[in-house]
Amino acid sequence: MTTGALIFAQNNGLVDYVKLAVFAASRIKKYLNIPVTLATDSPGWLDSAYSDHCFDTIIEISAKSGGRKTFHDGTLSSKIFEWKNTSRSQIYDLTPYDRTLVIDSDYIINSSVLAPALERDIDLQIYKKSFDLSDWRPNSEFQRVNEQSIPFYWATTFIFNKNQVTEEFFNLVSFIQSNWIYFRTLYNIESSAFRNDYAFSIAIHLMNNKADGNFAMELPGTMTYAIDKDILLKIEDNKLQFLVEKKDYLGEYTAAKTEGLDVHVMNKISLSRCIDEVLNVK
Amino acid sequence: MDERVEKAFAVVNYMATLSNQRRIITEEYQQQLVYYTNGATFKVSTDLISFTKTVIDLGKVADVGFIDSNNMPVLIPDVNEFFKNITTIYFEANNEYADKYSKIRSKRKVEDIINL
Repeated sequence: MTTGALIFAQNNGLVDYVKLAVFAASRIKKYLNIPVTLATDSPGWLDSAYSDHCFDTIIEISAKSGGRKTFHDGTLSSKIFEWKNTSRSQIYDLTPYDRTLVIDSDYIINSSVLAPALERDIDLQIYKKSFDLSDWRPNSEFQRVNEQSIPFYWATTFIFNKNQVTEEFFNLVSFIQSNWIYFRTLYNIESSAFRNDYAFSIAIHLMNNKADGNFAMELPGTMTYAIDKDILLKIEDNKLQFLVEKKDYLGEYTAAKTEGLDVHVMNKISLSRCIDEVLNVK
Repeated sequence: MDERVEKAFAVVNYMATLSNQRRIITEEYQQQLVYYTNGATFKVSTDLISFTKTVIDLGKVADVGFIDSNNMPVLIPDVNEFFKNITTIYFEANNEYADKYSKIRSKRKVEDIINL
């Protein structure tokens, strides 16, 4: 039984996802001590810009655009750029491991909380519960795919075993992706853009025979997140410092700090700045 | 702006930061209470500790069936060892939580609350 992590990184003109993935991989090595594979459409950029990376395996994938998306950097700055998020359904075929931890490149591991989950013999472990660093934002969009619909699961981080059941699961995700307009209408999803979270949530619902089942087990802890209207200020060891957007005061923030919490930092631009600082310190 | 109003806004900002930081350290505490054994996940609580103590007091100390936080059954081979581990986790997490809580309560400036 082989166990390892897989990170996707497909650069666009704004965000160097490869840099984020290099940093995320170093955190996996530090806190979970497992081999890490990178799936990227920019292996040349990885070798030229980050030759001291800690990836054990590099897999080249083709660049596929998922459309365009607004990337915020705090509440006052935003840019629209290409978003390449459509490779997630290929994970089953791409992973070199029997048990794989998949994380987004903007998921910063600061603890060993996932380590015991890597020992569990469960087909799919994924986050359902979440914790927003902001204390006022409604989080109903991360509870259910819409208010009258099915539970929301985070495709940001999950662990799966490679077997016939999970192969069918990823086939379903792929089918949902190919027929996105149909499924988003069926599940009454507002967003027209394809999102892996929604596709995973729908696929889990189908795998549970359209009921509350236990096909997917919850990962330990909660998915802690800061959205892209929050700003990551600093990373120091397992501590992160944030500015969290204030309610009704555009451009104003509340300061916050986390220690030993794995955090999904959706503001990739500020994350990239902080990684530069960390790398410069070294 | 009037100096008194400025001071009032600074206090409001401080209170908002303190309140949110309390939420965050509570979440950090909750995540520290997770215990794994034999592929099962337990959220350590006073209920779990009391139940485990009762099981031990009843003389059942080997191969006892427990139901974990995901409602999955698991056999605990050594209940005394299990009890020792969950109480250690509980007290360590409590102590760290208390330490963090008293630290942020003693700070009087936003920058001190969130200093790394």
